[in-house]
Amino acid sequence: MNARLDNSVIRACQQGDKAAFAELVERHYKGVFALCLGMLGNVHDAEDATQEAMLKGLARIKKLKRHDQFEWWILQIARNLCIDFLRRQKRIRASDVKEPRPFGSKTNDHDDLEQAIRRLPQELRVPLTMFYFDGKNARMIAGKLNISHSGACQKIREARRQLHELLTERTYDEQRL
Amino acid sequence: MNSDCEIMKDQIADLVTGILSEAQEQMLQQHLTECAACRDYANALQNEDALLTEFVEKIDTDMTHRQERLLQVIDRSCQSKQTETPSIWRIIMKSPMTKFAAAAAIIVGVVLTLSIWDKTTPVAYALEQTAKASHSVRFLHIKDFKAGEDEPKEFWLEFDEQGQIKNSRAHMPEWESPNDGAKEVVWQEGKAKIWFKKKKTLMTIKDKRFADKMSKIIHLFDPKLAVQRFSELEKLGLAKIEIEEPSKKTEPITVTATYSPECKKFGLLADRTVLFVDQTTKLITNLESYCLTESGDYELMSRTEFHDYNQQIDPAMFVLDNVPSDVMEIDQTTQDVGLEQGNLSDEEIAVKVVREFYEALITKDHAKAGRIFGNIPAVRIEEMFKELNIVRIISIGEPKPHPTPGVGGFRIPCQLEIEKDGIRSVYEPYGVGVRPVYGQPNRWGIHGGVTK
Repeated sequence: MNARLDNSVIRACQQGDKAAFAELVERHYKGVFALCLGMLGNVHDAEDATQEAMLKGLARIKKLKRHDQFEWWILQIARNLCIDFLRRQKRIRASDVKEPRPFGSKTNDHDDLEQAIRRLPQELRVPLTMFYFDGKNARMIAGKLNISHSGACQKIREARRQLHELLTERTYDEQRL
Repeated sequence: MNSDCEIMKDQIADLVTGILSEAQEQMLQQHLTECAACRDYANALQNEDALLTEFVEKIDTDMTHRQERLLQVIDRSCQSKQTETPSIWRIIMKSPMTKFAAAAAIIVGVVLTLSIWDKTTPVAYALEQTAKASHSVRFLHIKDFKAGEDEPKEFWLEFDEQGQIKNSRAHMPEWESPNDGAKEVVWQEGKAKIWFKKKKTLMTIKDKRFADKMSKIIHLFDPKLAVQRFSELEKLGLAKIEIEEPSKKTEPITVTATYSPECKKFGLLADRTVLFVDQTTKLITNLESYCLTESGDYELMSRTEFHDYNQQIDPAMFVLDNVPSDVMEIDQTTQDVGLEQGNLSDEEIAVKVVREFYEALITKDHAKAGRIFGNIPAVRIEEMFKELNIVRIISIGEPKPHPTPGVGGFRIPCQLEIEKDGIRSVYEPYGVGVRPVYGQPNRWGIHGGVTK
């Protein structure tokens, strides 16, 4: 998303133009959702976190000085919310949930993929999810995560390799059963 | 598999994800022809890539609904409590209602659903009846006249049983968009067909942004929503509603909504709207919008007429098959348009698009130039640039966000060298408009401004 395109919309939001809120939601919802999905690993939690982040961002918009930093700023809010959410979850469940698939239960490719994505370490899951939601643009992901382009490529590459291992591991297990 | 294969595995992952450089790709392809294990690995990763893309697309299909749910949360939280001093901070953080945000939501028209009407207390007998009567409307023809223009915008709408728009056709006169000229727009199976009469072009596109824009325009004219807006704005204290019900049954009921000046902040252009409601059917026949002049009078801005309620519209109206045979057909749903962005930034791809377009014209590769410029056929491109013999690109300037609201993307200044009768001169196009291609993620193309 081009930061400069945000300027006028953010200015309008800060001046109380409520129509601009809808515009800002439309522009940034997907990016924030992708980050939350990457961090939390499931669609429902990601939607809740995205909602909370966008509401919080809109509420604090008057405090935003650098309009061109809105995207980075809203992603930071989302990231912090996700961290809080994961901390709360951890306290509740004591440990990270890795629910084994019941023996003999039927799954499809998407279920397998979803489970494999969830088993990726968070530092790989986040860039991978964002990469696929953002039209496979590694440079854009680098900007959003504040890492170098080569760093983003490295993470995506490693995520793909580990994902393949997880998926083939499953297939191998199933063959043994 | 040999010792190189571990390195190649990284490159295969990059290849499949589209982040491998061209030079590395050549080396890898060579290796793949020789190594069966790596070929298998590449195929497996390719399949997983397709699966990942499909998985994300599946989640993405519900993204609009998620956004709407968020906007509804803002709206609902706004409706839960009135506050004396409106502030967006309060709306969001404390979830109370403020009339400002709710009004914005109504005016923006993105968060209202018909169910809201059912939950609210009707403000007036006539309005309630009009809302109910409008729910059973299946067909409607709307003419929207703007002051000073003779030709109206026209809409033909077919609603489904839930009151949602099922089919629509719009006629947009030339005054609405002088550059494009008059156009006809229809929807068929999620695709929009737009017939640009002046440009003799029939374009087929499939894109959420365009769909949203059109549905917002159409919703502005949906009588159900007009009534609903009145009611909501009155409840928020932002509109004063006056209803006159003449004793003569042949005369229409008039419902006048006079808006508070605060409404201007939310983009509402009119200061007053008058609905004319048929006494028998309780359906709206006319809607007039007025603005307040400095002398304190209300001046007519536009008039919308609602015709032919529930008179079946010929299905042919929603097909657009009567276009002349000589139109140029551009189907952006089946052909790749523009250039792929890859890892370039928005500005970088925009400049690349402009450069490759003019380079294609210089080398007379009209087919390529056409693909970049909205998939215009090579023959038409050749015709367009017959007189303009471009010999060199002098410079391509910095992309600036397109100044026209709603257009999106960039406008890029550039200087070209042209040759006519053996004399070379500098030519500056109007400013090349470059933006993401409708319905084709990660592709950018030109939409205009390539000549003076």
